[in-house]
Amino acid sequence: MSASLTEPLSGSLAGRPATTGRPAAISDHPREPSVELRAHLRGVGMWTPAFADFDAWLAAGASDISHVSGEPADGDGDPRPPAKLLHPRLRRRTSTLTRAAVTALESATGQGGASLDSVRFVLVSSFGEIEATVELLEQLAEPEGPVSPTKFHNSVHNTATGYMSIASGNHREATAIAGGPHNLAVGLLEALAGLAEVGGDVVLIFAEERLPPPFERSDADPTFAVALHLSSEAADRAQPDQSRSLEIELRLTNATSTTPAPAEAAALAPGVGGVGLPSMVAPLMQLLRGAARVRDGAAHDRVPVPIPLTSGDDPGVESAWLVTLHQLDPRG
Amino acid sequence: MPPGIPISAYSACNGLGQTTAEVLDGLFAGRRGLSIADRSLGVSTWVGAVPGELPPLDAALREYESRQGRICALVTVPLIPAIERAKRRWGAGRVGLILGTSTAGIAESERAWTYQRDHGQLPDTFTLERQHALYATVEIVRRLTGVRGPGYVVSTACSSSGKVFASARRLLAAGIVDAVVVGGVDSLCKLTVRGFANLEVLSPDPCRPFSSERRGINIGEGAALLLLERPGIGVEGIGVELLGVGESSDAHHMTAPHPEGLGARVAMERALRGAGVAPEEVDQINVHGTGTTMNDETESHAIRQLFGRQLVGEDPALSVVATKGYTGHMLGAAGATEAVFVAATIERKQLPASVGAAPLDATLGLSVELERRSRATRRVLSNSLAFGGSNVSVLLGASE
Repeated sequence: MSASLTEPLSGSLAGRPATTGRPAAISDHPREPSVELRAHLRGVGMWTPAFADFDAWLAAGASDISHVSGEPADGDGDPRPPAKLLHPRLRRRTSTLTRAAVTALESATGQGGASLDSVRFVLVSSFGEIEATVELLEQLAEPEGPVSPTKFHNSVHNTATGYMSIASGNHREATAIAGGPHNLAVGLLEALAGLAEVGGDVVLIFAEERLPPPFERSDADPTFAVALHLSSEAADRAQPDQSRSLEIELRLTNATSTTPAPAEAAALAPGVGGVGLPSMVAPLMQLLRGAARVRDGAAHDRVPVPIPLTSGDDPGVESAWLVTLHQLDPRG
Repeated sequence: MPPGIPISAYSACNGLGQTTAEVLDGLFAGRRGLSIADRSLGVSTWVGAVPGELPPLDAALREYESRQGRICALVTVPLIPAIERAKRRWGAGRVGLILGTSTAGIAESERAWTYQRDHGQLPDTFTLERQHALYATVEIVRRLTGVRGPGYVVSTACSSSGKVFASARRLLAAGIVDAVVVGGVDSLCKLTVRGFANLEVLSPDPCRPFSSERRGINIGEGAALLLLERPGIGVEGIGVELLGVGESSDAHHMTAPHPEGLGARVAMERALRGAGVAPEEVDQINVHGTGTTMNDETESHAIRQLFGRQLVGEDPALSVVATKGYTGHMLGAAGATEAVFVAATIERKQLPASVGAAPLDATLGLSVELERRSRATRRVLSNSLAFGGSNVSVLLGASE
């Protein structure tokens, strides 16, 4: 066992530069109400039944995936995500959600250049392993019937991150969260606050399975996974494993005062307070289209691309979090 | 060493009682909160069920009705005065809400599934977003308290409400919030009871963590909330602070712990390192201590590796306490509940008995506290270890 796997991590920033300038300790002064956290967005991974990766989706016009169903782009007969990281023995037991999340993870870190045994994982999902859960509900309806032990342990919300850590020998922090209509914002907050805490690399994964009967809904998100490789360090494109890395800085701000919310915000589906299911895919697709525009230089006039994160207006929550994407200055 | 984050209030309900006072009275009286499982759960075992009728939710929250929701309300309402003070001090938008749950309202989904099988449609009282969804737990507490900062659920099975302390600490350190309501809520359901039964780890008797006669776990339900606030003018803590949190992954197996407790050890090491506390300064551990053969062996191995010298002699420096004999294993609510137990232990300068642990399993090499006794501990770790190899250790300490 290598020492690095078990080396305890410091809670301070010493030797681990983050792009935020926060103090190392919990200070006794309240922060300014306006908050900005930054990270380098180095890789994007994606899997949907119709698109095998981010580039395939872009090549097809970066269209709305909310109501798209279809065959996988690679069309090898198995419609499920490849999840090559998982040993076939492990993969056989896993769900579409876990495989999609693993596939997106591999794609994101493959682009951004990070070692899978040392990144941290943040998984965001509203309904998690809903297929396995509904199969268990069916089994539980029989009073004396058996309950599959594999389905049971594969129904927990952190199933995908568990398999990711096992498959990659990763002993780092991993979490699985749910934020309802605020899934994007809280996922980014958890991931970026973690970068401010210990630096390094985090892969932030958003994933959902289409709701199976009897819970199917017309306002539900489709099956998908999107992974963002976020780092406290810019990529070094001279390194072979980082040569394909994106050169984008992602800034997360609370837009209470300074930044007017872009018009796109109003177009997003409602989903607050239990009225309808909030869409995670809709704001996520905007974020990915923004990343593609910045990557392709369409934003080379250096106007940052703003993306609202919340679908609908939630009177229960004060801050509207906003992401802006910035092209890194090639002169450094 | 970074300063700690004061705890300014807490509440709990579980098999020991509906109120914090009943829960802590039971804990320090050595009274178990376990009972024979209701027949509807379909397994002959013992559980830690919140006793008595649970009061229905207010009219404004009626659409969220569920056992989970009622348990949420039991711990939230008593905390409202303290949360109101925090909202006035920092602004409602600067108070966050991070809750752990593994079950959410799945008990309602079980009934809804059977109903639709028999009637061809879901019951009118069931919606996926208000009964089943993890996030409904946050919405219920948000609506009861008016907290307007970022809110989310951490759901990593049995480590969920230990890991909320790590997320809260990150948001505070990054300046995103000035106070956070953290906690855990889980409710009894067939899925967990029969799921663990099929893994063959349920005890047919009241559970006996760390005993040579242990036969497995009991499932428990309940909730605990704690209010964490940035140290500042006017913040009156209870005298107990969050000093550090360590998280790790076993990277070994979905259900079986690493055979040498590697992940548990790394989580404890990271909690100490992040807080700048040396192992020699730790004087108490609240163990995960589920009562399965494997958990108690591997967790003991991890503790012996890290604290070996503090475990020997007539009066060892490190007190080991196991509390799941009181409540059963509360899964997604276990971490926050045991943080409340640790906070009460530090406040009262008393160690509770590890109920059910006698006769101790001598092969584990830990001198677990068997009787309640007076001891003022100042640096206490509390472990939670979960499916997926997800581990967390929370370090609480007495305020200086």
